[in-house]
Amino acid sequence: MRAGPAARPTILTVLALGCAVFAQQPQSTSARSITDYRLIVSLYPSHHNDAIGRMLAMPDGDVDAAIRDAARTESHWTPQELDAAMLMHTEAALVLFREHDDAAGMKHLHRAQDLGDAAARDPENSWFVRRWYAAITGASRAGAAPGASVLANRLPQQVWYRHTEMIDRARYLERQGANPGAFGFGQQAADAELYEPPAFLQAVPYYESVLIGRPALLIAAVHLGRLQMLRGRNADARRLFASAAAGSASSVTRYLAHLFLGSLDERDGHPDAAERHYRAALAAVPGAQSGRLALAALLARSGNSAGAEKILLGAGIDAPAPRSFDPWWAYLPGDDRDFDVILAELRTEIRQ
Amino acid sequence: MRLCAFGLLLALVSMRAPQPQVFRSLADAVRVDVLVTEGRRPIGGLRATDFELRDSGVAQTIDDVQIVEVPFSMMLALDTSSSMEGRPLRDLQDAARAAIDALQPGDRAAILSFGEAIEPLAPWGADRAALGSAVSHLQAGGATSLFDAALAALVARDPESGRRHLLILFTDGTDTSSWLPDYAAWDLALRTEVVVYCVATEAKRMPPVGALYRRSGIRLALRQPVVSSIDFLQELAVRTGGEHLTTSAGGLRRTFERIVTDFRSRYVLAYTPRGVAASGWHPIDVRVKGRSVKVTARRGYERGPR
Repeated sequence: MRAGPAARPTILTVLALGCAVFAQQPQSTSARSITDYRLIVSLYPSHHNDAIGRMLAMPDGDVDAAIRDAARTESHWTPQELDAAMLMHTEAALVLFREHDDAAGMKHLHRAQDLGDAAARDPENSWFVRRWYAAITGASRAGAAPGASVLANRLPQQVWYRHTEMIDRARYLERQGANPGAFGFGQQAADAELYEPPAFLQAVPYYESVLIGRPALLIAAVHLGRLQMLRGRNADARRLFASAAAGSASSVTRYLAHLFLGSLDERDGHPDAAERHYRAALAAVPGAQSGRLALAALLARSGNSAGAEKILLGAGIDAPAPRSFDPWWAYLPGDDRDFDVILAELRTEIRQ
Repeated sequence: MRLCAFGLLLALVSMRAPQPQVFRSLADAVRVDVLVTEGRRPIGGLRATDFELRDSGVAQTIDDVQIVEVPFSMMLALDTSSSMEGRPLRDLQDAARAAIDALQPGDRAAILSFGEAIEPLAPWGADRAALGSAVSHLQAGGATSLFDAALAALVARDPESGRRHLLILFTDGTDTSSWLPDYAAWDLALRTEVVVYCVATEAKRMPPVGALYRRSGIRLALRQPVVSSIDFLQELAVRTGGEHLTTSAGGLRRTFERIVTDFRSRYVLAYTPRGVAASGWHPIDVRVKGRSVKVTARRGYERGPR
């Protein structure tokens, strides 16, 4: 999901786009500016270069006024809109940093930060902001956002940050438990019906603490459900997945929860229920590879090879370039990945 | 350049080679792709009466035997995960081109590559230039969704009827990121006529380890393990009557060429099952009468829903 150099907007192209659009519009009032800005944000998920260009063409004062309006506590902006605006300014900042305009880059990064603070007020959405922060930290490490380290001191002091950090610690342990040697010397997980390395046992209380302290962070329920499933505690796993599938506002969280529920239903001999869950997953994140494979495998196992082919040929393995987004691919990898990979995942996520 | 989803779908559905329909269609017939060898040398010239075939222990009458003239469809499923970067990828491209060059008129091929994403590079077709061009566009990157890719390659069969089906599944490592467990592909392998040749490079071949890596760990049936010690490639090949081959990166080209040559010298036995259950698992046993030769064929087939 890495954007190649050719896919990156240059400052000239985005400014040209923006100027062309705004040259045709009458002068803005403050209210009009807010409306214009919000329209630009709505454009960003599907046409990110175009949206960035339009935003950069707006007068600074208008942008700041619109962000103040979006970020205020009683704002009517949805978390998803705030996420989109945050990513838009982040991308603008990275473009400006590449053009060696560090001052302008930092200005947009601070705007992204303000929007992120507002976006994280929604308890579940704080996980999205946490991953944005990971991307920015990565960009800073890679030298792509030279001044971004100043954010590092500010963000971890936020109240919501503690719980998202717990998720990250637990995910680290979840990864450790999946690696060779997770069971220690003399122990072997091969051919075991249960998978319960010590690292998983250490991860469980972290996820449980998150769900007690911030119950809306339902991605923790999916992760905890997976560990319980692997430990053979299927009833507990099912309850956790079901709570995430029913209660999450995040399409990614719902996708994963339905996929796991489908697998539990398959295992228990309920193919019809499994199919419903797989289709619900694909409704949340259309075209995602793991969902299509799960559904195709189910249909093939039930003798419906034509249906399986249709599912795969329809869009599943025929992912258009760039590679289609699959929440499963981002489920376990840590934040040490390339920052642009994480940003691309986040951008794809807000399109769902 | 990767093909867009809609374009590829259209191409998969609409691309039709000239119809060298040489395999007789038999209602409810079972086809068994068989390789007969003495040492490593394929044995030719056998007739239907030379074979003895049992379905579920019941001797069957072979209706038809075909060799060579049955055109085949070859799927190349190629591991292009990040460990293939550089020389290994070039060796793989060279091998894939050799396999395509070994096709004969009437044969068709398709190509998919996989890291964690499974990407169709070329739809089913007979245009060698297009297939070769697709090979040129292979790029290395990502984790390894071997189990997922195997299932996708088995499902995405050539829609042309009356053909034999060959899948060459190449990997340089082990699965690290699949959603599906290994037995999803094993299970499907029992339901298809696809013969799978699995190719692994010696350098990167890993022993089975009790690790999940980034796999989901889901289980689709009771009493199946979270992680398995069974060699995925060996089991897949055995179930379909194919082979599991290991080679050095430098020997990849010769291995791919040999697979196509061997596949061309296989027999296709067709019979209408008699005296056996209509559904369920049907074990197959194929022998050549009166000769001490090695017969490689799939273990059996599954009919009806699970």
